[in-house]
Amino acid sequence: MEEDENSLDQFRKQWRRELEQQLDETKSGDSTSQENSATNLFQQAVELEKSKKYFDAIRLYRRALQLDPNIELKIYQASQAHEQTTDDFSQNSSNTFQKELSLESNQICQSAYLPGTIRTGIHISSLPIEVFLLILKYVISSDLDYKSLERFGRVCKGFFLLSRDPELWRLGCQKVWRNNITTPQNPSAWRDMFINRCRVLFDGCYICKITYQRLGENSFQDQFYRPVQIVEYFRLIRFMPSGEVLMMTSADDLQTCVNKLKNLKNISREILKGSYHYQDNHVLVVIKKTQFNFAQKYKRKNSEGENSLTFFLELEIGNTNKKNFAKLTWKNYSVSQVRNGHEATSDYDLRSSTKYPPFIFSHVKSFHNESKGCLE
Amino acid sequence: MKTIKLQSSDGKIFDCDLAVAKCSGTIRTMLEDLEIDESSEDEIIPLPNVDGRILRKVIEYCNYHKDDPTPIATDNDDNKEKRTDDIISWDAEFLKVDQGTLFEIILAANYLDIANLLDVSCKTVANMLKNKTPDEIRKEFNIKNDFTPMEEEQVRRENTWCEEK
Repeated sequence: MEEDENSLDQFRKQWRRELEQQLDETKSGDSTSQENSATNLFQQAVELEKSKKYFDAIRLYRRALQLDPNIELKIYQASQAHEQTTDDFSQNSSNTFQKELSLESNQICQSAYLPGTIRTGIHISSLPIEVFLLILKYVISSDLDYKSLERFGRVCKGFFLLSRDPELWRLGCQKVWRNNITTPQNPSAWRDMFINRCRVLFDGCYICKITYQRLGENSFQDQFYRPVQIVEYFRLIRFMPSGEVLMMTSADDLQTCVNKLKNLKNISREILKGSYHYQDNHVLVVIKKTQFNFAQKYKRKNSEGENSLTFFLELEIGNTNKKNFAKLTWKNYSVSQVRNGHEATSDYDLRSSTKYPPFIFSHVKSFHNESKGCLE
Repeated sequence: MKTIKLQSSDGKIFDCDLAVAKCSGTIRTMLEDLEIDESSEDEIIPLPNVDGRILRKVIEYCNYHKDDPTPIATDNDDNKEKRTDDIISWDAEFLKVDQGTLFEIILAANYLDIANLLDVSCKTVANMLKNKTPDEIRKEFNIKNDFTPMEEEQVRRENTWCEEK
């Protein structure tokens, strides 16, 4: 009996505490949540009014007004602002931001610290614009990491404006197409050119996976045993904005291959290094491989120049469903060999689609881990 | 070696070799304007935009780098290679400071016109920005997202060309 009473007592106490807590919460519910619910009620009322349910509408309007007497004005202002942004945004988002920013303050971004937070040092927003632009040139870096720039632009309005600075995009275009560009009338068109004009992608490598079946040798005794081997290997190409290109063919797993293409310095021997240039929507790759020449090594007199092997690849740049310029299709492939002063060129037959499937681009995050230097 | 005195914004005086102080373009111009040279008596150069803590760091940097060869601007490829070299370890160690201090060093380098220091400190910030999502950047630098949801969506859509799908 006594036990029951005790537990009942405890239950009462707990219940009371819970009730108090609930009361507290409704009381302390800040003005914003009140405004939000008022806005909701008001909007519901508007809907009801539209469908001619006046009685219910008035009831909701009244409740909304009780929560926030100024709700009508607030909603009107909000809708005005909303319309304005929709209109301008589609035309020129940077212009609106520019106006807003110059009205609000001279700061590029706002600190997320709550007012009154104790902190040491200064905030990134204290940096002047020219310093920001210098930093962004290092972000883009000489390997043209525009993805990081675009992400930077999604941080806040000020950063967005910085990320659309025409000069940053002009430098990129110049690096990709050298002198083969015409200055657009509208400076903002540099970005369009960089995004839409046909080029190769730099933030990863193009991979071509080759698989084919090869018949193995028949068993001596068992005539019905016909082994088939599946041969699988990769061909990888990485383009650099500098006009250099790395190519390798390997049967290792992809991760190992990709890692080998990461560094431009001390590249391993299996990687071929060459150059490329554009011709309309084709990219022409030339890779020359100098072969080890005994004659040269021992300085024999009858040496007739170096032996070399030169690969010519002509690839057509195309789009995949997912990404523009992410597919390279074989158009021409020839090898010319110089051996003891004689030159011989042979074309490969590209009709076999199993041996020459298209290269598909694959993004490699680690290629852009660190700034390689200032974009110039 | 002739030394000069630099005065920081909080009134601290730093003795500094003339050659070291001349790493700063701003001080170089000041010295010329004030006609201070080897023969001048103790002159104090006021630097009202740099506080003592940062000025000490900047002088330390200039002291270490005073003998660096000045990069000659040529189109030579070899030269370009050198300039894009990674941050050397001394500099990396030097810039292992909190974010606020890093920004103050940038501001000081910008004001004092010390190109090498400005470059290496900006590169450090750039490395903090690279390969990050917008949210990660906001968090790292304490930046308020002032886009409305609609604007944010619009910007995201404009930037999809470089994102993986």
